[in-house]
Amino acid sequence: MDERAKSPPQDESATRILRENARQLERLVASYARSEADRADLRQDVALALWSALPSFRGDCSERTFLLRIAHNRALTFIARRGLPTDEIEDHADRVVATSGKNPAIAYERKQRESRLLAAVRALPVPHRQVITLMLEGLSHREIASVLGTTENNVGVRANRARAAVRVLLEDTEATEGAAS
Amino acid sequence: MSHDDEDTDKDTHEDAELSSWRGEWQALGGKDDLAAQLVARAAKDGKRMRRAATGEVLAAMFSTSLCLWLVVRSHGSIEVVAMTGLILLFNGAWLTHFFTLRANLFGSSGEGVDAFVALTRRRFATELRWARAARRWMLAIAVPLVPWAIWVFVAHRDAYLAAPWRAVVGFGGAAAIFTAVYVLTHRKERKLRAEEETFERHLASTELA
Repeated sequence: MDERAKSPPQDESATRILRENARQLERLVASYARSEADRADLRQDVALALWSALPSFRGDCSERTFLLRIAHNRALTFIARRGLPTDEIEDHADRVVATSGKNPAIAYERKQRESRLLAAVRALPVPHRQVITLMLEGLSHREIASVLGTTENNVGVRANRARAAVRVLLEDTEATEGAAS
Repeated sequence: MSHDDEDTDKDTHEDAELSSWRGEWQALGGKDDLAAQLVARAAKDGKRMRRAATGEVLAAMFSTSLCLWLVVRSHGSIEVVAMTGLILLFNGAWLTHFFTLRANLFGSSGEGVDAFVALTRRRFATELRWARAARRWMLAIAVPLVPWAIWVFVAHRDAYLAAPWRAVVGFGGAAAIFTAVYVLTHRKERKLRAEEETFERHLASTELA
């Protein structure tokens, strides 16, 4: 029996969508869940929701938008179920999968910076976090509005507040680290 | 420097800032390909959930059939009709709840976030109402059922004394089912309240609230 006959189209589509957007999904999951166990749970929750919702997908938006919508919605339910507190900016001793770098010092510095950004994003209230994570993925305000099911104006307001908050959080962290060293 | 120049400087600075953040952000993310593994488990979980849901519907249908059979067998005895009527009402309410709310719980995840928030709030409200109703329904059924069970025992005392297992299985089974449903719905109600509070706390003081 060939492989295609074994896996139904629903499974194939879900696998393809997850594979094409794996890194985006991973970043989104990391912005809601800190520990690897929580990330694995949320990842699986999103996969299950995608698998269940795919038969009702009518193609009124891109598959990436559809997946991001699902992921944000499941993340909301996930934090409600787990009661996870919003992270404090100082508390970000987190294992971040950093980019490759031949120089260990540069790689370490990049990892620290990325960890600071991730921690700052995690410290935001959920609606601001949703907008900033999508902006950082490179989505336009219109696309973000489509993912979140809201207006572009609303996205613009949230985006300004989120950026201002991230800026302050990053500056505070740098100041704290500068004073410590 | 004019006001327009200041605005342009600020915009350029903000765009450079966003580009820098994007670069850092998009460098994050694992390299493992978990897609096939995630979908395989999702398919397994999805099928298990469907089986569990089918099981619940079949159980409701089975108890409905049993009630109808009891009514026919007792030739419409008034006390049997009264007792089975309560159970049938309960089953009807449960099946309505199941098909109107629970059946498409995961399918709704593809909606926009604002719509999903509204849907989640409605789900919390309905689930809580249902848990409360189920608990009260158990009490409502138990109130007439206890004296009725005592009456049945007294009326058929000789038969039960001759075969005590009948009493244990019949009355004990009913008591166990009632207690389990009561305790489970009570626990579910508490859990739902905690979830609802956390959900609202995360959305508090925002445009979504």
